[in-house]
Amino acid sequence: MIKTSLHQWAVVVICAVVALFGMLPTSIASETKDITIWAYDNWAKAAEKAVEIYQNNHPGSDYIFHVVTMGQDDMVQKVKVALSTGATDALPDIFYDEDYNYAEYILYYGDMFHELTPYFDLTKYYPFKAVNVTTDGAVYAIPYDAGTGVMFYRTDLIQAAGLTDEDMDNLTWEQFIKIGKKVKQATGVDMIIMCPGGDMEGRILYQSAGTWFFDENGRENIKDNQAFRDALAAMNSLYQAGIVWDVPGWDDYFAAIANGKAVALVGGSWWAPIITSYQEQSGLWRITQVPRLTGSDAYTNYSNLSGGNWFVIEKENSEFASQFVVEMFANNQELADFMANEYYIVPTNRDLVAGLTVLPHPFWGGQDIITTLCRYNESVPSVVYGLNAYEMTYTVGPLVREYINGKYTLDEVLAKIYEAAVMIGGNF
Amino acid sequence: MRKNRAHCRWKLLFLLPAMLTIVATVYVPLVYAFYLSLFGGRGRKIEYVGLGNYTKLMSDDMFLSSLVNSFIFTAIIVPCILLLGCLLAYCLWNLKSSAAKRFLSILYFMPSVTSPVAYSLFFKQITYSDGIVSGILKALHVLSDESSLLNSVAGARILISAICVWSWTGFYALILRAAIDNINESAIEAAEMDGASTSKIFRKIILPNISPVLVMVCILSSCSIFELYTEVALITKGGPGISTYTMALYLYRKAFVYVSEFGYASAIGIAVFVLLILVCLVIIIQKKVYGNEK
Amino acid sequence: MKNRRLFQRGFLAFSSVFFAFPYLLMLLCCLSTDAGIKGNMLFGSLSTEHFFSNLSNTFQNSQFICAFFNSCLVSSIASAATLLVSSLAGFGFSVIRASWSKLLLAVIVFSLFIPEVTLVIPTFQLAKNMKLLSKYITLILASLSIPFSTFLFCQNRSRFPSDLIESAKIDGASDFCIYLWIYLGTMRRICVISLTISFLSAWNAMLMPVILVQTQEMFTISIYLNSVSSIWSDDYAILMTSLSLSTIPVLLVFFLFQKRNPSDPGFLLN
Repeated sequence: MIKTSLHQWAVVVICAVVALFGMLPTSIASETKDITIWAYDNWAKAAEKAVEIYQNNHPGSDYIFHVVTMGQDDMVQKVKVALSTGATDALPDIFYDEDYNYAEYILYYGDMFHELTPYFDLTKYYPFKAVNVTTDGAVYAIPYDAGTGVMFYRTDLIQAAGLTDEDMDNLTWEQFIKIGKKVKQATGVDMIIMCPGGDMEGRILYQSAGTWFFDENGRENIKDNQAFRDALAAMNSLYQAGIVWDVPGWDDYFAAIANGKAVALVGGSWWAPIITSYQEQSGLWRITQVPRLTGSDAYTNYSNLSGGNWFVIEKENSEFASQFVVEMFANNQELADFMANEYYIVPTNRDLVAGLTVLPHPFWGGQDIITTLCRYNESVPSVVYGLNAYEMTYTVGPLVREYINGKYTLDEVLAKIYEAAVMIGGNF
Repeated sequence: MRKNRAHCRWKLLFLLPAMLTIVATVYVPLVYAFYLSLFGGRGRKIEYVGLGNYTKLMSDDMFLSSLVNSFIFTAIIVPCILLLGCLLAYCLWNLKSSAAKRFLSILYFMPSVTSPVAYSLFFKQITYSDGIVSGILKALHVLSDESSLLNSVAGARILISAICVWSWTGFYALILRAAIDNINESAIEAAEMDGASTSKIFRKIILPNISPVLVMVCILSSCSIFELYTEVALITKGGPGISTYTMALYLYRKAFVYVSEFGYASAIGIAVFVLLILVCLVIIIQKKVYGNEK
Repeated sequence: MKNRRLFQRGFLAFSSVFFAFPYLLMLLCCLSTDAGIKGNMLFGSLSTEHFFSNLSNTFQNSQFICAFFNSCLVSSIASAATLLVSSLAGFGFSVIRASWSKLLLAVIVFSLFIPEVTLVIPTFQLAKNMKLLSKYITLILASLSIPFSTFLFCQNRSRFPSDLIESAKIDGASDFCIYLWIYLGTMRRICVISLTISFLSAWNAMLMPVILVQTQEMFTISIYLNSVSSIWSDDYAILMTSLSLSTIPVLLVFFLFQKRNPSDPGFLLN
């Protein structure tokens, strides 16, 4: 029976070893001078450049930086899960996230974030950015970029219909539809790409009219909201005019741009680097303001979609991390120049804008879009996004699509959106 | 007597690791899920609401729409799997060459072992508006020039159903073939000699004999449909509007994408479980009733 | 007669195209470039140098390599653990005559019907409270497939006849000895099948691991692919190559454990 005992013991020992191995902490105990930064896409590049510039300016610094690039959905999910654990060890020191998530982080997990009020001067920032990083007078994030609402359009297709660039400036949606019909007749190409399901264009319209799903107190803002009504009606009229290249999702925008399926795209300025990646279309694109709704003087040609901010988590190095973030993202001209010229991410700090060095970008055929974006930022209406922006977006989007498909009338869909807003927004 | 009891206890030890693991990883979380579902509130502000989450569920448009979607998918996918699976099983069983048998069995089973994430990502890339699949469909004039497969409600649902059928049929065809193997060969051969058509042999001989396995295939595929997450999350993200929104997707969004509502999301999870059991019971009862009538 | 054969052969051929088409397409995409796939010029942009450049880019991606290694590690351990536990249970069910053993078996098999989706949040909360997030042990526990394997062993009880137990007992062997030498030996085929299926299920598991693992170093392949799906303007050709490479181990394990002798009836494939 000796064999049996040996085998039994062997099994037990192996199991114990595996269990022990599994129980070991997997993250290397962080040395005190480690700074981790999480960001996605081009903002991860911003972080990397910031680290590089910082290390050039401070050669003696013994802080080690780790910039981790992830997909946006992935990073947001990880941040939320980590926040819900209540412990900061799974969180980075610094991370970048959109305006829409600010309220949720600070309202529910505010004690895990480092307050940034004493570190910099918020008055230097545009009001529409400043209003979304403040809670009860305290600042919890550094405003970074704005997804300035612009209309990108193909100037060659406009010209083929006999129009010029001046004809595209400062339009109303009615004028836009007229132009769209003309261009469609001349070139056969749809005027605008739209995806009602993601409510991207919707959000641009709401903010251009100075309104949002919820008011500053988080109560629903749909009932008796003429601006909201006008925005939905405008989107519908685009479809009724037959000038929309309708796409089901985010990825289809890329294909539509690549294959020239539409003349114009209304979105945030972060589309610019994506459009410039299609080198063969160099010289064919221009930007102009977003068309405005008609019916009130409060409606503007300016808007914002998915701008972002830098957050600092309350950890052992939060003091240094805050100084780093402020020094680089709020005050560093070299970084601002680099990001503006490489990725069209223009600063929202008026000082940095004033000192901006703009390089020529032949892709836009002589148009200086960086200066134009800075100019547009001056006029963007201020809107407090508050909580539940994404849940509303993903609920309203499908409803808007059904409205456009004719399943609901405008009043019916507004009633449904109102119900959704009450259910989603009211309880916090 | 005493020795028997001690012996019995010693034998129990063999079952212990399995029972412990299953209780710890399945039943304890299940009970905890029900406990969590009794609390509402968001983020870290949680409050006891009793069955309030469930009453909220019953009037939640998103949840009801996703439930309807699950039923629609079941109505499309399950018959396809049954039909395709049975035909495949029968044709494979009938095949004489064993090399071809082996090769084809492996071929049909491959999608079942491929990671859902991998093939979902792949299908996403090739089905967007100018992808390869759309190109083929437009050439065949099934799709109009202007739209993409994912743009219409019907198109998105058919796409997801087709992907599910592609992925799961191989596994079920295997089970069905094992069942057909157990049928008395001579009965089928006699029928073939008499010149009966394939469909007649199917209806009269094969189907009645494998009906318990058919029921199991129905139940298993319904379970998979009610839990559908990866394909819809990666390919259609809920589809045009909410036409391919599933309950699993809603649960994930409520818990990890929107402001975390773990209580409400747990209630959705428990609801999915209860609905699943109900559907299985309906299938079993229907089979018993139908069987009795015959 | 001939019509029937023709119909069956035709149906099999059509099915083969239906099932194989995505794999062929995926392989073709690996031979292409990003521009070729997006611009719908797939067949015009095929070349082996693209294939090698895609391959080298994929291997230079350290996150992918790390995820691959993690998947191999976790899947192997999870499948070995599943085999151990479920074969023990299967043996236990074979030797226990009492009627309550049927109840226990029902409890085990019933757990198959509890949707993973229902268990995601409570498992997450429990792991979080026990500070077990992002640990290998949690990942392994979440990737086990004990109920199905146990069901497999019990289903094939007939291969392990009771007179074997009797004769072994007469020789004075302890129960554990019988299990180790006789049971595992007789059920070797089922052990292999269980190992294969639990390896596959551990490799492909996504919903639970995504929630339970938060640090990038611990990603498995499924989690990594899921995280990559939301990155902008990814290089599609490299993505396709990563997808293909990530399915290879699974197919390899699957093929390696096929019966070589076609006449031996197995539970799965002949």
